[in-house]
Amino acid sequence: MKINRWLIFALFIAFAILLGPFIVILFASFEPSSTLRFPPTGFTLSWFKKVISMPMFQKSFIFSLQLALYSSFLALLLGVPVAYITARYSFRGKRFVELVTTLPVIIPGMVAGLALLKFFVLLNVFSVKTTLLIGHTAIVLPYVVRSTLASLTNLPVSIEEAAQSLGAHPFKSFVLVVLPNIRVGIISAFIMTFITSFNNVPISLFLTGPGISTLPIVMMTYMEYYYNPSIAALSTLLIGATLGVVLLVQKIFGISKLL
Amino acid sequence: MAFLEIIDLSVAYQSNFVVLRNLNLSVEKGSFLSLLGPSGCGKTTTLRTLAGFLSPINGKIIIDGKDYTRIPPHKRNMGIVFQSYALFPHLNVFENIAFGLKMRKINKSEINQKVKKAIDLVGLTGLENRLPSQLSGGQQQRVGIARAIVIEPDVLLMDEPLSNLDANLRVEMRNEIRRIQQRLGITTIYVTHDQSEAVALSDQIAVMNSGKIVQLGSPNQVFSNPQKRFVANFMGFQEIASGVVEELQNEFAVVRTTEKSLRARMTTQLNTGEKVVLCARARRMNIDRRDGENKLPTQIISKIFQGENISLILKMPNGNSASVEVEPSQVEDLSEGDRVFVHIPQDHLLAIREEEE
Amino acid sequence: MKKYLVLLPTVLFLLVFFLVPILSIIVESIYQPQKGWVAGKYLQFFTQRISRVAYTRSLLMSLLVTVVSLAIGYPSALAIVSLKSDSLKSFLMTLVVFPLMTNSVARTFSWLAVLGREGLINNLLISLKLTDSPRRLLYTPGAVFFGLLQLFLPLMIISLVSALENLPKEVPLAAKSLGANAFKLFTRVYIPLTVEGIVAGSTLVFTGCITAYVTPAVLGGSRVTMLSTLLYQKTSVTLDWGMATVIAVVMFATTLVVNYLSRKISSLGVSRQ
Ligand SMILES: Nc1ncnc2c1ncn2[C@@H]1O[C@H](COP(=O)(O)OP(=O)(O)OP(=O)(O)O)[C@@H](O)[C@H]1O
Ligand SMILES: [Mg+2]
Repeated sequence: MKINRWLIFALFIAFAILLGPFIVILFASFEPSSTLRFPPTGFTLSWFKKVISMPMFQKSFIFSLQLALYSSFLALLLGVPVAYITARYSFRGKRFVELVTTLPVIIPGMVAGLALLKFFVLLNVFSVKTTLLIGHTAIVLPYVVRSTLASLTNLPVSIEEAAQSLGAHPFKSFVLVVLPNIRVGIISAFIMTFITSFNNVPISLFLTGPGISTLPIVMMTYMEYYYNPSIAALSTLLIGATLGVVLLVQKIFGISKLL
Repeated sequence: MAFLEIIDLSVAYQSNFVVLRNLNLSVEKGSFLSLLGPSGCGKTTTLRTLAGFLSPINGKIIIDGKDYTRIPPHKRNMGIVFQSYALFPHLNVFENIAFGLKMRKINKSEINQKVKKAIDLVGLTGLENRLPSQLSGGQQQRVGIARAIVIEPDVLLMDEPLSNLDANLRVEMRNEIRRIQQRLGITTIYVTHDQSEAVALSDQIAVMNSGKIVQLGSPNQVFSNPQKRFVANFMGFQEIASGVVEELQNEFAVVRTTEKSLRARMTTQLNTGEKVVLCARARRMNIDRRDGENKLPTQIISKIFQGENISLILKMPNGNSASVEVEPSQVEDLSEGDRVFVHIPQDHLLAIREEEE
Repeated sequence: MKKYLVLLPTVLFLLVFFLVPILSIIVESIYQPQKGWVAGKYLQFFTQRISRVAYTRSLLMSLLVTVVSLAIGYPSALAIVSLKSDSLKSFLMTLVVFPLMTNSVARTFSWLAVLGREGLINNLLISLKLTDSPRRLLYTPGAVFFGLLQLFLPLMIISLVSALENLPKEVPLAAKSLGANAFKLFTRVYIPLTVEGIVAGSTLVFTGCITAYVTPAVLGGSRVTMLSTLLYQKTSVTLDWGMATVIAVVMFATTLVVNYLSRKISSLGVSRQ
């Protein structure tokens, strides 16, 4: 079984590249001195304490959470009905609707970010905050549509017809029969969109203002000036939280919901 | 006017693919009508139009004197039993059955009482709290039936409700459906392509072909006296010869075939000189060694043992093959290739007009 | 029809708030009401050394990352697919997906602890006496390469795993077959049968690399300028909006061309079978 060993070797290399840096940063964030170092020369949690108590990180963290929450909600609101209509009906212009809802995937984030900055912020049409919300909602919308569509295709149309024949208005049948049965798809879409918005850089990069900046952008700015383990500690926290979410989603819904 | 009237109904998919053409049908209150026909003939389309999921390009649907043609499904008060059961996966048996009553804003104690009655009627007592995924196919269909009848629908629509069940259960559920329908007296339209099911259940059978009703009648009329060539074929008659009507004698016609003249029963009025086909069932023909009245010369192509009886495949004078079922003892000495005569008693030989209009 | 009205807010949202701004900057980069047709910035882009270098570097880097991630990703995907245990498979896939879900700044910063002056590699080299003073590993094309590889290898593996899982059952897994013929099996059977997965994965990786910002910004810095970092410089440092727009348009056009080519290759592969 010579081949087998080569495949396992490749897999090992792959995981070393994928996960190795995470392990290194975990240890580096315990380094007592103020340089980024691996292996660490000692053990301290002070960088964690420091980074958690820094107002710039606190503020941008809260802001990123809010932005992710609002844009995910808005994307659900805009995306679920579209997924439903395109899954259930054929109509003229359906291809157009499908194309429009995949636009944000086709267009590179930086291109969109620059365009939004020039068109809305620089021309004083919207505030930076509003523009951020628009940009984030747009880029997560396709996830919502795709995930909802996948759940809907597994749901037989006949149960909606059954509900209607029993006296439920189409809207009521959507709320009482469709929604409860696609909730897994919707929840996993929400988690995906939340993470995507929270982590976004290409759009947020251009959309900053006095006191308005998302956490990843604040981290990037901070890194330009300071080269100490505090960002390592913050990174460890973020990586740990992501790992938790990913494992949880995998356990509850199965891995396919993340792909 | 009958309770349910379908008048000149035409239905098309994508506005140009016409599936039903000027379909007319009336159903009396409380009666059980089956739509019987081959796959693709438009049975489901008819049912879905009645339910309001398809809107006709022309024609009317009248129930109890009221025009339902443009009324949306949720305002029609029709119960539907689906082939795929279509139970709500997230609701338990009780909640599934109560769904329609809740939509009607009936008070809780009344809902409880009605659902309980329905559960008793379909024999599901004790399973109220199960989810559909925890039920067998037969039990799921019982829930489907209970859910549809508990709302006391004006019309009950069933689309091949038994076709997902295995053979034994199918017969059992068939009897259940008949019992429940008669007990409640619900006007029912039942779609099937299984003739034995239609015959066992129905007060009336409408045989459909390519979007039209070709014959409407009692099970006995449709089964024993098909009036159209299509119905005869669909109900299991074989065309053993064709010919021209020579003479009429009460309900019998003397038909001249290429071989000889035969006496056959008419199911519609025929005229002398009309072209007809002669049809008979496999079980109603006998094998004979000697020629005589109403007999045709044939050759045995094959002999198939079927347990209780033997099926002979015969080559008829017109070149068609036909099968005959006989007792094994009658044909012990016959083997493939032998020339024999087949006798069709005049009562069981039908003369049916050849061309389909 | 009433029910189609619910499509309206979404379609309008994306058209007005997303497509219109993007189209407007594209149009503005080639046509301006006061000046008429303008191509000067494009000429500048393709003649100036800095932008030409950045663009070529981005293209070459993307190509290299695509090829290497294919080389590592294909056998890894085969290994994952040939695992017997479904739960192990799903666990490994979760780990593959995990870097994709991680904050890009945190993920990229991790490489600083690997490649930095006192990072893992330099300390390793010193303790093995392969070097006596730390080497500069950061702010090199190599650093950017590894960062991008980590970021996009998951996309390649996911595409290939799904392609391999869709193979007909009769195709024996290379992992199970023995020695000598394995190479033939691989080149004659696997690769042709998974062309679509390979092309899909490569396209994702390539276009991802061309547009990635954080990785070249953090690991390449101003020494290894790439298309994306140049774009940001133009808006934040030199405030050359015209050039920034031109870079964005070139970036977008490149991804469109790559997508178009990959679709062509994919359909060629399919029609040949
Ligand atoms: N949604 C649809 N779009 C287009 N054509 C359809 C659609 N549904 C059915 N048809 C066509 O309409 C015709 C009648 O279909 P219908 O479902 O009513 O047949 P049926 O009698 O119920 O058949 P079966 O016994 O197979 O269920 C068929 O030719 C079918 O292909
Ligand atoms: Mg049908």
